[in-house]
Amino acid sequence: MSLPAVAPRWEPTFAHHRAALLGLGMVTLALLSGRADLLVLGAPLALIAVWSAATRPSGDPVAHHGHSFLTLYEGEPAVWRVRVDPVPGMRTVVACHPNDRWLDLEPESGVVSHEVVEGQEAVVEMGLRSTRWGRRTLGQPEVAAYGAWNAWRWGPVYLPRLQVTTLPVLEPFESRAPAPHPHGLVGVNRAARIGEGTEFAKVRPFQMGDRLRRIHWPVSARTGRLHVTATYSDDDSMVLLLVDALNDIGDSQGLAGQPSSMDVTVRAAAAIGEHHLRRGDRVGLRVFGSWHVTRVPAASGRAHLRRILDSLALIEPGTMRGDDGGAARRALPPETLVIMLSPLVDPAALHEAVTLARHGHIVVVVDTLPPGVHAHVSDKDDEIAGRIELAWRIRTLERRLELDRIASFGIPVVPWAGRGSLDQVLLDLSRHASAPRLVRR
Amino acid sequence: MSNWTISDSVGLDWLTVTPSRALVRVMILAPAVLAIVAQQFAAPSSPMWPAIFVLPLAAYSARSPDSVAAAFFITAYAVWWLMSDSDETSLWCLIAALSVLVFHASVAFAAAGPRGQVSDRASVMRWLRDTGAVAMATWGTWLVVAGLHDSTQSSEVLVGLALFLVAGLVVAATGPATEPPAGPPS
Repeated sequence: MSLPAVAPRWEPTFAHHRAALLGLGMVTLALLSGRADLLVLGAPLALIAVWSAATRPSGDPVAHHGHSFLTLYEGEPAVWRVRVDPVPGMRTVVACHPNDRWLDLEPESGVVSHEVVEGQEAVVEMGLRSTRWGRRTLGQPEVAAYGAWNAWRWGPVYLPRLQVTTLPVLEPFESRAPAPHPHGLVGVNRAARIGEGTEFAKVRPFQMGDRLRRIHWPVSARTGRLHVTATYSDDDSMVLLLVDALNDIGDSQGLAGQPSSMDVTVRAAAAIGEHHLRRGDRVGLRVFGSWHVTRVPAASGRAHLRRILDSLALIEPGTMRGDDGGAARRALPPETLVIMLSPLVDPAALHEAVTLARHGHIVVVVDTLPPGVHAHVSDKDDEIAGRIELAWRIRTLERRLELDRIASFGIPVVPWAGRGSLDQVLLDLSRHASAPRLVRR
Repeated sequence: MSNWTISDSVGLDWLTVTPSRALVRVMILAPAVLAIVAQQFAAPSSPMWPAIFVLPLAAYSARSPDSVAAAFFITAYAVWWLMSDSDETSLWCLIAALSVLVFHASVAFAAAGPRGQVSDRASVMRWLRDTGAVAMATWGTWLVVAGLHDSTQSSEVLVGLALFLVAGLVVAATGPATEPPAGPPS
């Protein structure tokens, strides 16, 4: 994108004024006073002033900004690039990009200067890496150009801000347990789509992510390339990811640092969603406690994963206080496996889990409160800080009681621990799925 | 990048020193100190107290290179030099001139962009090359001055040299800017 004509001009800098005035002054004074040493002292400044003035840049450079929107995963490196058209006399281009709390810049200062080769376009590049999911508009970058001896400056010119959508990183998550199916219909009706199932569809070339046990050795040996047996998915499971965005507890320090509860929630939702979509299940997403995003209808396929990740990136926790999650229950097919991801601090989340279970859904609650989180006390008053810490301790004790109560309703609560977190609980649920239950319709 | 940071208990950074920034600071302060040393050797009888006013200006130039502080430093230093009764043709005069040159070039280099900028190798090499070229011209000027010292024609040659510099400066300043290259033939 080319910039609008703001029309900055080449202006002399302090360096040029210094060289010109002091060089001229010292040489003139040497003439008047007859001091040859003053001539030697002023000669370099006078020479630099002559040099700078003789090579004064002309023409207006045009800065081109690469892109205004960028979508990348957490931790994925990207390059921010500015191109400046050359003009005679332009020697250096300096670009500056403001830093951000969840942005790593390379170089760290966010300022890069680049030597211009005469007649060639100047390309200034800076590495950037977003360290937290979400959609953010970064600070306003600037670019300036300089002539010889930095005596003339063009700009700084403001460039359009970059809007970065950071998708949550897909943590390795693998569950060997099947999704519980209350009707026992697994494998009876095959779906039209390819996925994990039992009914043969075709033999196709091996792709990343395929299971080794699916390799079709006769075809692989005959063709010289690995082939796998593709099957039709069993149209059995619908998984609903229910995300509690009422609170964000803890101080997020990005991908490499301590996560907040919302970080754990979003990354866990992404990992579980990716796992079930890879298996061929239909996955839906509903969020309560946040404006902008409420629900993603259940569907399957890799493209649907991108929809879920995009929606997760839009979450702004705590922007819809008082949301009791009622909207999340609407039009929910019966016998849906509901995986609720919540730090379980707001009673509304617990109430929601109980209500869903009473309506006959299979509910699994994933506890996303990070271990070791404590009250973030910024008040310098010791008494107030003490009260805040006491209040947090009382709340955590209450939370423990509430977890016991929720377990008494038959709702399993599993702390999120990445790979294999849900194995045992899903196996137990599958075992109990055929047992008669009392539900409220 | 390895850097050294002083932070307070709240986590606010008070001072961050990177190797490249420290090097630029040294390249500003070291020639300023060398220029003062050269002045003292060129005129041993001159007072030392003006350094109390001159050195803080150099330090402020290192902190804020895109300011008038560097001009004040050179002005104060030139006045100090002028007031002292120094040997006009001594080698210390050349060292002082080269120190002023390096000081000016370092401050101009640091003034491009905000603090912490990372320059590419080509940019640094060009600065070194250009500064070396001007240093050679300064050395030539000193050779002429030292060679013509005590000569009967010294004043005429020096006046001519000075007038040449002044005229060059005026012509360059009032002349047109660098012409853009001619476009491809249509």
